[in-house]
Amino acid sequence: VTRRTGRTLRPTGELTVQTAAARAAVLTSAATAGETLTLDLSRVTEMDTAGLQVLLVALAEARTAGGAARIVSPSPAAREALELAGLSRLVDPAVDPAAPGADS
Amino acid sequence: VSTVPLEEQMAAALQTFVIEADDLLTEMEAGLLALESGAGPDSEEIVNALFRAVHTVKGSSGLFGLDIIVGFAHVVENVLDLVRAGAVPVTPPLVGALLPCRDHLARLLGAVGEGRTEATPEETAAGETLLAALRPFAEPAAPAGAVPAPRTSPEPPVSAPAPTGGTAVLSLRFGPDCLRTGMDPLSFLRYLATLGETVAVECLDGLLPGADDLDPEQCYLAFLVALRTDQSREALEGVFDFVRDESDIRVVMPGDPASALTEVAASYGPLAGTVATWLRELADELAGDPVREPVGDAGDGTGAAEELPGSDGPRETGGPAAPGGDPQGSAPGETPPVPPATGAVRERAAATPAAARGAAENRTVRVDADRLDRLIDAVGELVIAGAGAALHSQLSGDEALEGSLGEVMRLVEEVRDGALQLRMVPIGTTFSRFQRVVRDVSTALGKDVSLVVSGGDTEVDKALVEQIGDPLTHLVRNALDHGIEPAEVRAARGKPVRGTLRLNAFHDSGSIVIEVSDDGGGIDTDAVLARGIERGLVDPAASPSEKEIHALLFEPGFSTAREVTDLSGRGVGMDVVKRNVAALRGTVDVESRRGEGTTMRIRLPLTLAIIDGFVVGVGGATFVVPLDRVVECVELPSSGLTRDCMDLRGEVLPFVRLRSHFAVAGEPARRENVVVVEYAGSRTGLVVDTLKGEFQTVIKPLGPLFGHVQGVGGATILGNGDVALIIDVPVLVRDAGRQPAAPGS
Repeated sequence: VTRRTGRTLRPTGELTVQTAAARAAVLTSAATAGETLTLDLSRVTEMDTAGLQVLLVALAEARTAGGAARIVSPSPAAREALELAGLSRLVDPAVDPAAPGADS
Repeated sequence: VSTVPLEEQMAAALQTFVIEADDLLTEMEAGLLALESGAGPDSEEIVNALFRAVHTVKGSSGLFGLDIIVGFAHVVENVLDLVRAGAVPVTPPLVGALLPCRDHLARLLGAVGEGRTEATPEETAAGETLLAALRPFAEPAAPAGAVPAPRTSPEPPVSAPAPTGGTAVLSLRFGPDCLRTGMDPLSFLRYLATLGETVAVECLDGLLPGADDLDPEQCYLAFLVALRTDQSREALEGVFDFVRDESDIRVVMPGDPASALTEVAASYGPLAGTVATWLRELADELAGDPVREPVGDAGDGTGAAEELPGSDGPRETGGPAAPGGDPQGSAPGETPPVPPATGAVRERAAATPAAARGAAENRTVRVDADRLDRLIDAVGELVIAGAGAALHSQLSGDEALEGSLGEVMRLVEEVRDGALQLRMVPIGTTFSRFQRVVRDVSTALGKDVSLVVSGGDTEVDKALVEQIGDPLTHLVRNALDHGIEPAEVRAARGKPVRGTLRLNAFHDSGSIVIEVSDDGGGIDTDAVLARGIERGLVDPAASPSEKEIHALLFEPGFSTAREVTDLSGRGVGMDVVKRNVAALRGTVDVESRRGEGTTMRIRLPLTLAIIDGFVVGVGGATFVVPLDRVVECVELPSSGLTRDCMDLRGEVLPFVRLRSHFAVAGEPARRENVVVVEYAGSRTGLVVDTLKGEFQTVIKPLGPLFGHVQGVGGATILGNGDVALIIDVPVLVRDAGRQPAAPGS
């Protein structure tokens, strides 16, 4: 595992359609070239499709910007949402060994 | 972009669900009652409708996370599914077990409507009791020759759906606005997971824009789900009923031709390649799965139609269990793919109800009753303002103005009538509820009674319909309990053993009349009189008329029931009926013939919002007396007055001085007038200063500040802008014999 540097964002509370608009601006513009953006979901209390979309856009933007991004430590709510959407693989298991999908 | 907060939209969606589910449960009740009374050839269709109703309630409840309803409905649904498959016969005990389950669902839904989504311990216990009563029916009858589906070892339907079926593939593309309207695709995925085992989910994010173009409240994601389930196509498609119109939902069942999956991939346009790849990988993954026919690549496994057991299309009759079959016997060849033609037919059949529903939705619009009330209120104001304008134009003497205002007023009245018409609903829906009441009550009493309803299309104000339900229920119960005789008595009297209860409604000169008639023994006037004397309601020496004796029935605390029954003999009720009806400005009267039956007749105004009033003045104050209560107007005699009575053509007329009753300031006018009002057969005079004539008026409820004021039923605004109080005649008449309210105290 390479040591990563970069910003960590820790959205707190709901990551849902109610908050998506407010969150999107911060989450999707935080990535910088050459750095790894860490999205720590440990404090997410609720997540829906809108929240999921914002995360996916944030990951994509990070790649576009020439950096990287990863999702770590999902709260139970966030983990459930990711699992339902078949996106558990997005969770970086290096930080959260309990996360499923550690084979990828 | 919507500006309505999401919470409100969610709440609105939930309310819509509750209303629609309530409709479904009403249909379900009607269906069950029809089954019980022997529906004949229609019974198959009724059972299907019952199944669909419960299924839809369950599915929609799942979307809102109402697990308690889902769990309960699931068991009911399974039983209905067995009935539908012909494995469980329709019997009165079955209907008897299902009806309370329907009621339980209605109760749970009612709680949801009030904002409570968790069941109380009592409700949970009640639910378990009901399900226990249902359990005997959850085991299908011994396999008879007539059972069409090859169900050699049906699973116990009360268990959760075991993932023994084939793998269905669902393509879920939700409408772009689904998030805004509170329909979270993840909720659907969560619910789908309860219907089977999710083999794989693919989130297609190919349509997600970059950060700059992202609308965070728009849905861009699509999902592909492989679900191993024994649910039917209908069941899976039904999950998405709520979002079907704006979404592209495709369900490919195991056994569907491979082209169905190709179509799914093709429907994704630019993403078709991604989808096809995923589907191919899924097919590879499932290759070892004995149940699932390979997907994606045509040529293997399809076209085995000749092996179809009983090839006369048994899949339809087999219900949802058919696609999966039972686990033991499901070698690949035994799960027959449906020939393409059958699939197409089925799809068309599935499309028809949706189309019919769409057409029905176009014909009617659901409107919040509050909005309607606000509209009617505003129209009422318009009428008042118009009357004010007309008054001014008359005073101005401008004839052209007067003419055009007259036209405006005509139109305003048309609008008012139209607005009131919006609130009119046929009373038939209320009547049909009584099928159930009659069934339950007559069963409890061990009587055989049929309900005959007529005049169900008579229209009446919705607010009135809501408030007349309870009094009507009481009259119906009373007729069943006290009116209709036990079967042996009827037989002895030479009457048909089966009693008849009639509900009838019709319009009669600005009123709606609702009749509850039975063909029972009629009112025993001797018994009523004896009880009246015993209760001190009648002077033993008096010889009251039949009508007066009948009136005793409505006296508080009066009951002739020999024994207090569970239903209506508690000595409360008829007086409450009378009071409730009077509160709606209506009357109840009785017509009865010994040995032939009794008719209770409720007469109500067509609408609660507008009355014809008679305007009177007392000092500086103005009052409105409902015109239908006014008998006549006379001058107050200047002499010959006892304390609160006057002589009206030889009869004693008690009167109430409105001036002192409402503590109006000032000295009485030199000449006073008496408005004679009648209520419940007794006349009372209202002493006022001036008579101002008739006036159509919109009743406005009084604020809580006036809640304690006796004798006022509402307020209205007069053409000149003054506020007038509307006299509550029944209360004033009742108080007429007592001391008037002490002024200033």
